[in-house]
Amino acid sequence: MNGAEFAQQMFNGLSIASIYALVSVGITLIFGLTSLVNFAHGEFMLIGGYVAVSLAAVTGGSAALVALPAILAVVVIFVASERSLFRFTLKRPINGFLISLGLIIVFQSGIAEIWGASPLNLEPLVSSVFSVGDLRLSGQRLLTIAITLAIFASLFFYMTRTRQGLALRAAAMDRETAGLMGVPVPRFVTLVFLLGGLLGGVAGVLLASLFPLTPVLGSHFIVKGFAIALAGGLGNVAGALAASLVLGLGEALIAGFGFAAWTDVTAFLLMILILLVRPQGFFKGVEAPH
Amino acid sequence: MTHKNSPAIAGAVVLIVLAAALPYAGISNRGLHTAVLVCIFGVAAYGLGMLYRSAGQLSVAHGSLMGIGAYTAAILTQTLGLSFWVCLPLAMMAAALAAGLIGYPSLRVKGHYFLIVTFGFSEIFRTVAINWRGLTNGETGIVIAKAPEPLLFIEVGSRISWYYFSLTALVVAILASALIFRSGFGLRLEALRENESLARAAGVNVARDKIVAFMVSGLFAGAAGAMLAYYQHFISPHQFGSKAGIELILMLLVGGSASLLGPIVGVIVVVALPGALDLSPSQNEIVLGVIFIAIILLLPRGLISVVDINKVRRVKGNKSEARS
Repeated sequence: MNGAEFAQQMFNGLSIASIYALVSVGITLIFGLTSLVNFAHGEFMLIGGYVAVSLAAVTGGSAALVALPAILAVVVIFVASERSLFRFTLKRPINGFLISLGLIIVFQSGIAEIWGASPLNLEPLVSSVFSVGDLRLSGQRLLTIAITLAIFASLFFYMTRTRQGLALRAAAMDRETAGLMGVPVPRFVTLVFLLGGLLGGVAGVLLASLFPLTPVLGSHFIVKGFAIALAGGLGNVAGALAASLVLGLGEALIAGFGFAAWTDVTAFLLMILILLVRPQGFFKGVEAPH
Repeated sequence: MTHKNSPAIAGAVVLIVLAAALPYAGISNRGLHTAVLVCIFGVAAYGLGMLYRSAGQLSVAHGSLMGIGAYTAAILTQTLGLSFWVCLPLAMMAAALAAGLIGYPSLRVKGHYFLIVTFGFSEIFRTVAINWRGLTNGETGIVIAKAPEPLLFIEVGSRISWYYFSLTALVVAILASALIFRSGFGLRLEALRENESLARAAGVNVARDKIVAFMVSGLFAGAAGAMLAYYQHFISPHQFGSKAGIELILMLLVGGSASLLGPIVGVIVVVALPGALDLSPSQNEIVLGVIFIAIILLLPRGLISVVDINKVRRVKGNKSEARS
């Protein structure tokens, strides 16, 4: 691998890391407040991608008409699942986890029923390719990275500079005390699901323009997203961002050496190892698995 | 003891006689096929049920443990031409070894985090089975053309003989899990399920007993996998991923894991539903998923708790609620 190839892989890795970041920050936000691990997160995100593909076929591909309804659909699914299912399992996170396993089956089969099992693609919103020296930077990947950066910049502003963000972080640290201080915790639980849906919806649409969609793609992203959230310390947004970068770039390197089929196994093994050896992650989170 | 148990034994005998008479009750060929699958998956479900009921551990990896049994049997048959009766114990041992390995993290990682580890394991198994083409033939899967060889008086080939063979295996599995539950080993598992540090302080070798419990449940899964491979004549990686593991949990929890007959009720519901409702496979999965979610939320002790009220009263409290 020479310098240019290395830089090319790093660029590709950066766009994959963007998707991972959008997924894992959603997971970490929801976990931080509810201790719930929603394994159907990946399937919910996938719905966004599939809705975008269907809309593109109908409307002819105007970006706003494709992306916004798709993101909205994911947000609705997230909030509805919280309101109708997960709010009853706040005291027993294991039941919430089991329910999310049931949701995986429902959504995977539902996607196969509606859209079929063969891979589907979304035409890239930006089809131009920029050349910088030997590097070929696809516009779609650049757009993915730019959108992700913009989203996280606003998320950080929201969480660190607004009263509501402060209250959200307080509730994540200690739900009970924050509640006593007047933070409406149940409303915030719905809010983190809304945020998770927003990030997941964007991830789903961007994903559809980078990879062909299949109904089982969701379970790969959830395991990786969870591994990342874990490595970053569950509940820690900045940690999840850093860990996404490490995994995205690491995978691109492994793929660059010709082991693309094995990148998933690496990520799964990584997750199991972290859970075994350093369950609190490499950055401080709200709570370590015990 | 004999007094207290005699109605249960009488009930069990009646059930076995009824099950044995099933092929003569005018059942269709398709119905008999479903019955064989019920028995095969039942063996695996009782393996997982033994682990859950005694040691309080759930696992998503048991679908893949079936896969390890199935692939062991298929590969040994294809490359070495071994007999089914040699493959079966080897498949069971391979699955038991893998189960011991999966059980090891349970010593450190608790609750749903352990379930996530097993989820990761099942996806690793599927990816390896897809990509290690030299051993597993990749996504194409492996075909086993032959039927099990005749052994003494046992001849397994026709559908009806498969039914009796798998029914016997299921009865053995149910009896074994009942005996384990009542043994000293089962008692130690129950102690560590209720309070691990207390059990350790009382002299239970927690690490050893937990790993052994995983290995025993692996034996069940391996046997089910080997039977499935020979019965279907075909296996592929996607049969044994995380979805298969979730479905085994579904079978266990839909029926109810606290009583001896709960799991088989769940297996019958899950396996027989497609034929009964005449839905497409994916529609059927949707229905099952919805049932599963409803059971967890509304009926955490499973369907059998509706009929079998005495049992529920006996194990009252939150003992039988979903937990890991």
